[in-house]
Amino acid sequence: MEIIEIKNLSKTYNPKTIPVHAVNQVNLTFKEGEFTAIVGASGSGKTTLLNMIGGIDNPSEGEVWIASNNLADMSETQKTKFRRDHIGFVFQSYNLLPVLTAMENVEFIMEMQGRPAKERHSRSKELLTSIGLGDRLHSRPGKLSGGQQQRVAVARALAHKPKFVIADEPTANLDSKSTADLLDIMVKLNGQEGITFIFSTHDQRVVERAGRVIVFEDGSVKEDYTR
Amino acid sequence: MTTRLAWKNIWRNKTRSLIFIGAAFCGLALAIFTINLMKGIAAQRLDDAVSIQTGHIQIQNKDFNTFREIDQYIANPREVKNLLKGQPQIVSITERMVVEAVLTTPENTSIARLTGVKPEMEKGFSALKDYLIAGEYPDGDLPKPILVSKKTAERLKLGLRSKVIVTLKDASGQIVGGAFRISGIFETPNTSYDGNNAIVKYDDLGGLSGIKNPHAIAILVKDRMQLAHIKDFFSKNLPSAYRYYSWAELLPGLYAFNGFTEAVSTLFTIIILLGLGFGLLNTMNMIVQERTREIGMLRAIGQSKWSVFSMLVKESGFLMLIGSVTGILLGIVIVNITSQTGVPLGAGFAELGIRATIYPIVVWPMIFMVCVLATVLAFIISVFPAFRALRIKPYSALRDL
Repeated sequence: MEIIEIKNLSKTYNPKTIPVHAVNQVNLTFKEGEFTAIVGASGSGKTTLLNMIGGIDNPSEGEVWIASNNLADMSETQKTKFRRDHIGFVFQSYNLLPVLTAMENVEFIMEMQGRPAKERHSRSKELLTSIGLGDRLHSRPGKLSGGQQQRVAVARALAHKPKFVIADEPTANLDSKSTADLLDIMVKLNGQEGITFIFSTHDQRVVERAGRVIVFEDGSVKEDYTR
Repeated sequence: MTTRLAWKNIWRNKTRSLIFIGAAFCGLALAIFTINLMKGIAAQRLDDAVSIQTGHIQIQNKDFNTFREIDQYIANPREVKNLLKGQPQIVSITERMVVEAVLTTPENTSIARLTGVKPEMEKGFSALKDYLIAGEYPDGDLPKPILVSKKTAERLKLGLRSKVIVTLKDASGQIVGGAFRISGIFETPNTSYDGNNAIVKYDDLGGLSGIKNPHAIAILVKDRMQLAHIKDFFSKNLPSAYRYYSWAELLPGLYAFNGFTEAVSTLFTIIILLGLGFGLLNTMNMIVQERTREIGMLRAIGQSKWSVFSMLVKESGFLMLIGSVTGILLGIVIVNITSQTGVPLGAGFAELGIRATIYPIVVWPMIFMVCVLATVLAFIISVFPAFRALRIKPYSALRDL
């Protein structure tokens, strides 16, 4: 079943001065449970595409449909709520809240949703334990390694059971071991939770683990294949 | 959630937060102390002036305060005193005769306002007795006693029981004179009063000037905050030949000085609060600048604009609250301690009627006003950086800055 549908999507920066076509007439669909890598050189438009899929940037042209909802029809407030409830984000630089513990970071979105404390605690404990951080529940990000922080970020992205997770270069700041561990976890959670993963990368090790690979070049899809 | 996060956020950069909190703590403690010290000075000057000079209210012949003529006395003091009898607010009254005179000794001459008092009426009224540094109040056996200030005594080279000639214009317009003997020497905190005043017995002054009636009936009330009500009563019931004067009308300089001290302490507080406001603005701007990516992340994962706004306002509020509450509490503690021990200012302000030691007064409305101003300021100041934060786009979190 298709969860995301992108129709003729374009993003042009500086349209009135020196136009830069970051994304150009892209058409894509993503199915539920897919584990997709968007590959391309820096500046190829991967991040811009992810921003528009995640509803945090507006396209110049085209539409993004998520579970039969057109993002273009939503107000900013509706999009914010939609992101909170249906999308998980993993960032290159982890972006955990440094004043909160690993558990509190994982619970954060659920807390924004107003879920009961008991449910939040059990879900965050379960997730952190499943990614090997059961003994670091109360550690703050500053006391965790880069790999551990990114694992917490993945747990945060999954905690509220979103429809899909967007990860922008999630392994860019990690060493080989941490990258391998993170990928194992993401693949495992993708299988366990059935959540769709879309991540941008130019790391070959990540590409090798992806079920589907989309090669991006100059803002357009050059190749799209499934293993 | 935003409250807990805001509280944790302010401790991210402890040094910066503590510097601001320290500034608010010291600034507001100082502001509270200064306001209450100034209030103490104003209250002390007023208490001294009321108890030594005027009372809270005076009833006079309607022209006396303007022209100061000897024959502008109260024609029927009994009528006025009967009127005062029914007033529960009135604590004490006294009748006084006031005449401008010249004091002469073989050594020198001095102009003085001579007040003729009835010692038995002054007992519960005047505090001048408390400021005697030698001799006694003019209620002893000494014939024609006169009380002069230390300043006058030095100028005229007078000692106890020394003779001084008092010259004045009597009721018929003739210049008359009489010899008085120094019964006591006083020194009040107000050197300006001391330089121009002397006290004699009512009957002695009456005998010399040829009048029997008082120029003023001075009144002390229980609560000077009720003066407006009392004034209402007098304006309705006082015969038209007389006029009601409050201390503020009798001592316009003091009234202006009190207004001035209030304005200065308010201005001082506003300056401190403005300084704190700019400090807070700078701190909050730095916070927003440093956390652009984090705020973008929060917006990306679904935190609403209002929630981000509220978090930053609360951070600003917490910083100001910790600094101001502790500062105000310290200020109150200092004021409470110094209201017992006194604050030594030295004798340099005596010309302004300010005592060498001042006892600050806790003025709760002013303290409340400072609290309200600090809170309002924290909110207003935090709005600017919070609005700036709202302009941060969520995708700034996805960029590697």
